[in-house]
Amino acid sequence: MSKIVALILALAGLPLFAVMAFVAIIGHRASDIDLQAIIIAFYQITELPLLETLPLFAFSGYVLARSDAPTRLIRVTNALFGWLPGGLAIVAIWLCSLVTAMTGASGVTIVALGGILLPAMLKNAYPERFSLGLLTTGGSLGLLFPPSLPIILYAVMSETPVEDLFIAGFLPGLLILTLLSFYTSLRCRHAGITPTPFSWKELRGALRASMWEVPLPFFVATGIYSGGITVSEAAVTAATYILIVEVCIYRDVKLSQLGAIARESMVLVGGILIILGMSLAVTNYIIDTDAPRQLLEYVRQYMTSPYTFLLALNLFLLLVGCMIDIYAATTLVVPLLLPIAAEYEISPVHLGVIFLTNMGIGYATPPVGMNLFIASIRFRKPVLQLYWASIPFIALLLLALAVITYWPALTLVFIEE
Amino acid sequence: MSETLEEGPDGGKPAAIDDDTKRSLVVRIEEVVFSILLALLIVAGLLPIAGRIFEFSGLTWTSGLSHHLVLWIALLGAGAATRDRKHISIDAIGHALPRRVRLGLRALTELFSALVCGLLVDVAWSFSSDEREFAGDATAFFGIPEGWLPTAIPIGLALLSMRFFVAAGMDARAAFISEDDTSTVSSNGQRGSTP
Repeated sequence: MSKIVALILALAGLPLFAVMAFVAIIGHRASDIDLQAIIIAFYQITELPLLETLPLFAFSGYVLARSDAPTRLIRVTNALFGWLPGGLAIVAIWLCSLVTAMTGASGVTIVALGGILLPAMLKNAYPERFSLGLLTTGGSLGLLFPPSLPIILYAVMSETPVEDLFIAGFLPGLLILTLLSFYTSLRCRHAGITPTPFSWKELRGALRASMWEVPLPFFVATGIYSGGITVSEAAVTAATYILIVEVCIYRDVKLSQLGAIARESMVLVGGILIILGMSLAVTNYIIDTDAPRQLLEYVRQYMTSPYTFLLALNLFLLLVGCMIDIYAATTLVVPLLLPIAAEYEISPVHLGVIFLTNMGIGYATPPVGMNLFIASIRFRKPVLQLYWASIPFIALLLLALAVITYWPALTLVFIEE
Repeated sequence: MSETLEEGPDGGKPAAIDDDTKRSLVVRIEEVVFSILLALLIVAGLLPIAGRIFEFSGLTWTSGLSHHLVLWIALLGAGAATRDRKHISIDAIGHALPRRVRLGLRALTELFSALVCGLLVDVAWSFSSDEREFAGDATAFFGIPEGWLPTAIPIGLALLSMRFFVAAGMDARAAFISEDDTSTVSSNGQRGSTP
């Protein structure tokens, strides 16, 4: 009965952390456990590793998004790739990934980049529907690259080394971007869009203008991939560096704006962390109820091979991704999936990459795909139109998902067992 | 035609962040608080790095500080999310409803959240009282006794509960005012007003 009430409340729009708190309270009461257990579980927030990187990366990403860095980076990437057929669209794909990795798929990508890229694409005769689809889907590309907040959260929930996940996500992430870039290039060649000729002078000028920002992604990525710095160190140094560069050197962001940016990014992080805290209480309770074992038995009954399990897993995750936000899904679904995946000998790292790819697709699918709504507000277009526009891109992402799922070596090649 | 890059009519950056005049006192206080929390988080992260480079020790407390800053960010950030109506939720039916019904429904979910948080304040208070009683005299950082640290939870939850009550009141009120009058209610954004 209480489960049905919780479901109705959730569908009615009750914040998910409150749904979880409600479920935890009812569950603890029913099993005669002291409600203090909920608070004790919540207090585990102060013991989990990596959590301090979430506010730091989110704040850095928001500062970057508010500065003129996106415009400067578009110039650099356009000077580099603009000569390719569909160059500007390819630039959009790679830049969206970069900004999404920095800001954690919170819609900032569409807000910060969409407003510059859409008019630029339309002006250069890119078809409107194609451009809208590309930029809407672009809001969740790059989830597999450092310092993506969803990867960090998955690492926390699954107790997997975050460095392994970042390394594992590299090739699948590259596969997705390459696939989309090829499609874009083909589409644009057919649409008869003439690329910009390559110019050394423009590249030099663009690099000079953004000489302080271009090294940053390389610093974060190589630092983390090489193991030279920990993710926590990368988070704090990146935040310090970005503050110095954007506030003191470029002066795009005024000191007086930092408070508003701090608040805005902490609204996002607070929303994620409060869900994480409450989910700790709920999962503790769920584990006590023996539900995971029953679920495992049930799954084992119907799925004998890992292949069928992986197919079912993807269908389930796509459904979850359409319904629940990526952060809530990570805290709720991952603890249940891990033991089942282990039963089919799927490593937590591979599961993580599959999970995040699915969630990325979910961002652009109705009914609650957040990208659709943010893009709808940003581009002033109806949600349905954006959905239709996104379909070819979603189809390509599904293709990439199939490869990532059934070719584990792509994910695990650089991971030492 | 060759490609050129120019800003569209929207420009690159989202507007309104430096619009000083429209922010309420609560938001300004929050901005200061979050700035301080983030500044402390950065310092707590930089100190051990500096300690390693310049070889000084005695910085074990910074990790405890970081972790408790995260706790405060969780609770206060959730409070700010309540005001902005930016909590992560499913909201499958909200979009399809007429404005007044939607606001009414939201007021109800906010009221429910306020009650859930309120219930947990009491539990959290007894938890933190126990911690104060049983913790030793050890101090964590800035001379704060370790036993006092969990008190963040009842305080944070109480603030959160209060903000949900205010938000519920605002939405309920807005639900009873016709669309023409909403300008008086929602001066700060698209939905409702200032909890």
